[in-house]
Amino acid sequence: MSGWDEGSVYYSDQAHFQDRNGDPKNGEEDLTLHSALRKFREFIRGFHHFNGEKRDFPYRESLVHNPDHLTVAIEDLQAFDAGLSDKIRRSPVEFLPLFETAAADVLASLRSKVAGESGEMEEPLTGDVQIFLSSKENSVSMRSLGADHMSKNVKISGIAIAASRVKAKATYVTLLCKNCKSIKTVPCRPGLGGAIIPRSCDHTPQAGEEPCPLDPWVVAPDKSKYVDMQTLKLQENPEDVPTGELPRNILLSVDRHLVQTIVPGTRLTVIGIYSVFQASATQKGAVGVRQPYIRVVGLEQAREANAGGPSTFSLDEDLKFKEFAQSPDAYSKICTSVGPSIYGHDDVKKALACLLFGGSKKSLPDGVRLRGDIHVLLLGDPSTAKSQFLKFVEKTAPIAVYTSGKGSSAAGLTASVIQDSSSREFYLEGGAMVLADGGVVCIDEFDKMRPEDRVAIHEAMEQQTISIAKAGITTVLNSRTSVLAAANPPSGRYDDLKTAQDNIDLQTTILSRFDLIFIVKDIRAYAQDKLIASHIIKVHASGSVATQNSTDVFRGEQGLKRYIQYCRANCQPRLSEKAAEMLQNKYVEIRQRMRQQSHESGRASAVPITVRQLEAIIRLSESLAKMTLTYVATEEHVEEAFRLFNVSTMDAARSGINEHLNLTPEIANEIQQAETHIKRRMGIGSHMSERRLIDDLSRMGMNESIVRRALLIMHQRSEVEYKRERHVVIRKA
Amino acid sequence: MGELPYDYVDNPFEAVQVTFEKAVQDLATDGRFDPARFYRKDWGVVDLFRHFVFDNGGFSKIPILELSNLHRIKPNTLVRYRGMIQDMFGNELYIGAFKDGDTWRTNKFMERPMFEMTPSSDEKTQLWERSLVYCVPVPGQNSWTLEYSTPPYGEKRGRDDEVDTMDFDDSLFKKQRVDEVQIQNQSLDSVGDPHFQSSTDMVDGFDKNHFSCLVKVYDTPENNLNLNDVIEFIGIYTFDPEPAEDDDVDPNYPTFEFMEDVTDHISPTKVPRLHCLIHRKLSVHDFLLGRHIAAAPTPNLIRDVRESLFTYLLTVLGNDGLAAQCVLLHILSRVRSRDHSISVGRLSLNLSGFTRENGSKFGNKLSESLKNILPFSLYIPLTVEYLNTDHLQPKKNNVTGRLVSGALQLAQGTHLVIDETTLCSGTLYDIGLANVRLLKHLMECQMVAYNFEYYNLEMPGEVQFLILSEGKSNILPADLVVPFQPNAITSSTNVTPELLESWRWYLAEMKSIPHSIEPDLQKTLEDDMVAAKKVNVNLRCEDLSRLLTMAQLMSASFGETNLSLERWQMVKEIELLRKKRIGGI
Repeated sequence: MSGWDEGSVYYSDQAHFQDRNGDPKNGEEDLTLHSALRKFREFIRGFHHFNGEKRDFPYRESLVHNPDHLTVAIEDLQAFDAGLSDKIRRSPVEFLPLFETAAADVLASLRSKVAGESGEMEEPLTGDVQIFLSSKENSVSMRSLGADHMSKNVKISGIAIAASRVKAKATYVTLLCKNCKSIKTVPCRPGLGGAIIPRSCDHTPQAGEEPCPLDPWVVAPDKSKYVDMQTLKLQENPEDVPTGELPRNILLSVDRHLVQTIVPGTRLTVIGIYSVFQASATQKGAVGVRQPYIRVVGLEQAREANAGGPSTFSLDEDLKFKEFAQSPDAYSKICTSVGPSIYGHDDVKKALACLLFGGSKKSLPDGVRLRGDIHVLLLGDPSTAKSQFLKFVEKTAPIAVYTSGKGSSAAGLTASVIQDSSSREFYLEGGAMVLADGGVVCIDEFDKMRPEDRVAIHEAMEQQTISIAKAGITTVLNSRTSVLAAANPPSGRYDDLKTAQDNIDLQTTILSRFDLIFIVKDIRAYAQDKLIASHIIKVHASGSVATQNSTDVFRGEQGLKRYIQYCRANCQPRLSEKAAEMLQNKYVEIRQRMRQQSHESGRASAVPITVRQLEAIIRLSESLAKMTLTYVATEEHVEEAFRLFNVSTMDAARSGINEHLNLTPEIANEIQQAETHIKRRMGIGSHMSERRLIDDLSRMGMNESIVRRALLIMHQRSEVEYKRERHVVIRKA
Repeated sequence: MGELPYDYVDNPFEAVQVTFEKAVQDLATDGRFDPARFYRKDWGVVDLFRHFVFDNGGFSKIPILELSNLHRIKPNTLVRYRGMIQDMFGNELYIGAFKDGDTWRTNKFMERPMFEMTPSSDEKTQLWERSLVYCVPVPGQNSWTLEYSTPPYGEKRGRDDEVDTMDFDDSLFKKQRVDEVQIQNQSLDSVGDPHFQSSTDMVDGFDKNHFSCLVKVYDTPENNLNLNDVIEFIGIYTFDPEPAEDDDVDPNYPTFEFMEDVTDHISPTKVPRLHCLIHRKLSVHDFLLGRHIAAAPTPNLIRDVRESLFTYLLTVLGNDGLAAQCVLLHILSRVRSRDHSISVGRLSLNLSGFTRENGSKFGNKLSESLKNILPFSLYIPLTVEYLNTDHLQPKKNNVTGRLVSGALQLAQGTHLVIDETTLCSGTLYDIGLANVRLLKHLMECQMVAYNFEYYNLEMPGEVQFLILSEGKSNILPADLVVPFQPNAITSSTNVTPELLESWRWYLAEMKSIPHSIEPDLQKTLEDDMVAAKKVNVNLRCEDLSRLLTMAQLMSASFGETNLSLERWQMVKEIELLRKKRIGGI
């Protein structure tokens, strides 16, 4: 209470300060409404932070720029006067209107001041100011709200599932007496409350006048005052729902400037007054039942994964996590806690750990943003736990959406424009990629997706936005997500005898967007078998799935999830100089090797190695540093990132090379011949069904597989192009 | 035992009020009392009822609330009700205590107050909470689990096929099957549609196919009641025959969308309210109606029951021993643990080799037999049309606030027979694909994703899958595929009610016994598995895991809690026979 304003007496209301300084006792204990109003004024005018030498008056500034609303952080109020913030928390019904009045007063005085300076005396317009509250405290669970929170400010979070139309709600009702025509104005209770209309007229009848009857008042709608109001339904966040229970709903009422700011489907954190209203009349049977709702006085849309900020971590957790990050085996511990019930596949687990932690986002001076999210593709045989990995990531990532490529359309993944059947209005509906903004999208059966749909996520994967231009709506939605995709090879099983291209039947445009591509093969080895057998037996013997080596920090899924959240919020590592240099050399080396290889084999690799891959390695190094809360990614991290890249993407790119090198000259010759035939049959720019082309050539005595291989090679050289789900071939050059 | 102080059954309110007033008096200091002391607390009345129900033999005196005897139950009396929690509406705030002049009164356990409440200030009223759960009859509950006090009226199904006549007549079954599908469709249509109650088939306002109940539960700790739990509630039944007075709406009261409560659509004249005093989760044992066999059954007894059940299954399955073995293991399976997406202990079974003809013969016989020994079972004939309908996934209707039940909202431990022989070729649309995925996910992970419009919420669901198909089912790849090879057609089997009871007891008991594997055997098994993997490279982890599950179920079927090498060998033999059969076809 003391000292905050030492030497900083400012402005013209000195009298107030002295007044308070002179009588400091009347502060906390009995804060009368009048003194509270005064203090609120002081707060808005005088609250400041020190910003270097300069003093910042955030609230006064904000009021000048946005005269109709003011967002106040409860923490600032607390720092200014603990009694005041306590009142706002505990009895907002009385004190919030005072705050708004105070803001309006301050605004009026500020305006007249400005006008005075410019030399013109203007009558200040006193506009209403709406106060929004914000707070850094943790939100409470919807389940814990009870009668003891009544009429207090609470902070809860959830998903808005429905929004009503905007209605006008009266704040003051003007009543007209049927009999004596006298006029009376009564205030309406805020929120969902109505006006209390007196039953009798207080007009004393003059002689000869008929006395006013009971219930004489008629509402005069055109003389009443109104505000905009809207109701929303908020549903508990799915991750907060205890297993086996259904998410709870609560009604929200928002008014004035908060109206029309929320579309259904958004995640919200709201501060509001827990209130009740009388249950509707149809429920007459159960007298005494009240319905709770929250009158919103501040809301925040969760945009980032770390919405809520670092303060949502308790000191305890903070310490625990920091300590864990210091331990030498933090990296290996994290990796073993990824999919603990899945046998083997250590590198995949490491890659998924990288994906979960993510790299650092970068904004270049020219406004270009480089993504920090890591995309991983798992490609491989059925029943190699790919889907289990996806499920695990879905559960562990702070925000995650799981979809299957089979059956989900482009619109379902990106966003669609939908026309409301009743209002005929168009509105946007975000798909999986938008919903998972700030998190991970897990796409299973990526190969089963229609190619058109796959193209739709190109933009989302690299630019991290989704553009919509449909039905007159053009907009760009954010989709800052990591993509984890799983796909089966076209033949269902990874065929070692086929070329990499044959096995990875995806366009290079999409492949190059994945930072890591794993070919998950069902490897058979004695040691592995033994491990698997003992794992299975252990699982069955104990009746519980053994979560091997899971450390204390990560007990349960929630543990790892919290740690990921913590790291993502608190650490944005960058490459060190030395590491950058090392990376440069390695990249050049790889490019050279790839060039040489394609030279030798006469075709490009299935996965091109370009700048994108360089960025991928940077991201990987950053995420590795992030896991241990290190702010600089060192050479070690780059080394490990390279190793991961080598065992995944490079491996995928290399696979099939051996087979190609072993080509007998005869076969190579045949392929050459087939190529010439194809070129002869198809002029540049002409197109032909692939089937027909192959049939034609086989009739000429060519082996079908040779023709296919020739086509593939030409496709790699961009001499031909596939259209219509690979049914039609077009000759390009 | 003496006179009971209150008439618990016929006038439970008396006990509630009197104990409340007494408690207020006891706790009041200087004639003043703070009712907040009873907020979320019991003042002793629940204990009193508990004592009455369980210690004073009151349990049998309480009538069961069900459609058949609804006309005989008076409102505001104590009743018992069994049902599955289909939806949870969250908490309701009500005026729990209020000051009537100078005395405190309570509204707890009451739908409408007993004393006139005058609108008064906040100091004189106390807002308390109660949670609302919406209960429906357990889907697929078999008739033997129902305890009728009197034969039901108005309902033809259920009692007619009582256990003693087990003559399997084809035509009868065909008819029943049709009936069942219809009933199923009907019920699917009706749940969630707030207007369904206005259909014609109602008895005194209640829908006879859907006798649901809105239960108000007091002071339950978090996570005590879960969705899809089968619960027995003992509480006060209230019924409001007066239609709600709709015209008495205060015109000055502002109305906004979503302001109406979910319960507004559940008319009190159609769905009875129950104010719960005591509730308990039911297990299969509770449906055995107290006809338990010896407390500590001897291994020989268990062996005998097992043998008789096996013989019965053998007859039902046309003397196919292998199939009978597998069915026995299958119906004993349960999910023993789960982690992420892995569930241990389940054993879904696919009997292939059914054609449309013998499908109706053996398939129906089998599913009818299972109906008589399992508490909850459902039969779903798979068709393209059925898959393309919207009826499988439970869905939250965010407008009405209610969970629209789907066919896959099932109680834990439900047995599901999926008949694939009725499937013809056709096109599956998006919804059909989603449904297939849903079924597959339930079978493999024992989880159902409930649709909440903006996201899916996975709910654990423990369901035993038995798939009847012509070839190996690719739509629902079960853990165990057994080609079915009947070699005799047995026309009828006579089963005594005593035998049926012993089988029900056996299944309930053996399903719940714990399993363990001794370290010595673990080593042996490990070596065995590694060796097997060496011989057959195609052997997958899932296969090994399944074999172990089967071995444990095999030992459980003998009432043994420890896996022995003998049982492991038995299972390996079964596996060998099975492999031979698959290869032989």
